[in-house]
Amino acid sequence: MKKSKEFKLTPKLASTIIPVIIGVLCSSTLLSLGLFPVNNKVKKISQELDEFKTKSSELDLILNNYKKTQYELRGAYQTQSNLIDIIAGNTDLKTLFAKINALAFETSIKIDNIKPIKVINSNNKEEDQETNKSDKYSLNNNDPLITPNTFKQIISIELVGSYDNLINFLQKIEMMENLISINSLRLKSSRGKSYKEENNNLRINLDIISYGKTNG
Amino acid sequence: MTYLNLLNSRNSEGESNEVLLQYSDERNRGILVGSVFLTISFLILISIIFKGFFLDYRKRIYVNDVFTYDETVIKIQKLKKEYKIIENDNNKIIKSIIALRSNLDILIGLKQIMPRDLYLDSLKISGNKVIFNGNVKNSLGVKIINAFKLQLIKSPLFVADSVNIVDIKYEDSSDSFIFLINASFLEDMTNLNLAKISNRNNKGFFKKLLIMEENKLIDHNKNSL
Repeated sequence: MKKSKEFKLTPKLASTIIPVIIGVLCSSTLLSLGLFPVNNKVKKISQELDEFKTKSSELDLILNNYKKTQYELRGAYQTQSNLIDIIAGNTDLKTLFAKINALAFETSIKIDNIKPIKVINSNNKEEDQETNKSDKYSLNNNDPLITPNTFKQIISIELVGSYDNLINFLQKIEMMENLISINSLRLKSSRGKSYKEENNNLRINLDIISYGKTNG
Repeated sequence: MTYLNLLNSRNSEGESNEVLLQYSDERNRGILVGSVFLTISFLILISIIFKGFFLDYRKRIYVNDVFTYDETVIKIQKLKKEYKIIENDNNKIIKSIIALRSNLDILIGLKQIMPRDLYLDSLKISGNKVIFNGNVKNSLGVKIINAFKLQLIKSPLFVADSVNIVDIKYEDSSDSFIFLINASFLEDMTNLNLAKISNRNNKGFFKKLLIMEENKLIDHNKNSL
């Protein structure tokens, strides 16, 4: 016997189905309009919470890292301060002439002439470089040894003395507290004799570069 | 309750009077099922909202820690940036000090390599350029001048290719050979200076380098070229 199933929407069935359909539709609307956005927001909060938890657990590590970085920075500043002491020493450059004079006297060198050429500091070094490109003293103004705490002074000195005394003089100059380098040096036998001969006086021109500390 | 049967005329045509019946049980069942669906959805939504509030509450517990963390990270970044700048400046300073030329060393070195009968009338050092002007009172003057040139080439102070004899002249009046030699110093004396620090008897500029080395400011591996 063959039974054919036919779906008939009878009033009886409709009385049940229609409220069910309305319920399903309302719940679907509620889910689609409310659930997904709320769920996304909750997910976001959950992710933030995870991130917060991680950050909270790593806080000690970060604080230690901060202390370590502070310590390293202090070390770097201390190194810079030591370097500045090596470059510029602790004595005032105003006494440099007096010192050079004393050293010349000690080493039996006669100073004929001594004159300051220029002072270059971190404020005027770029300006000086721009304006005096042809100036022989400005060639190395892009000098890393000129810092906001140091300045460079170029002095021209004319000396008379023997080669050995000059060596003693240079040795004492290089041992001074301030870093002193010689930019140019001209030696000339002053009596027409050559300077390898004993007791022969040489005429010596030096351009000395010295570094000092800026005040404050 | 009395109902007016408006479809009475259709009863004779075999029409069912089912439509006239009340299905309050079925309707209530449907409403119940529909309400269950709606309630479940509503509960799901409410639970998620509560979960959100709960997570947010827990999140607030960590807010101070997170604030400190973020602030500290920014401070670390700033300090590291500052450290990098200072470290960079320090390295530049160290490199330029090590690369400096000791004129004392040069004059001592020159005295050692000058042949016996060779005398300098003048020596000009300007920047990296050097001009030697001198004389040799010896019949082998040219050979001696050439020996001096070879010594200059061999010397680690000079760029070998830059050492050139510009002029050699014999001067009758003084019976000597007069010469002019040009040379250039090495631009960067770092390696030479580093090699000389180890000699504790060195004086002048090298004493300063020694102080730097003792203060661990010079790293031989890092600073050598």
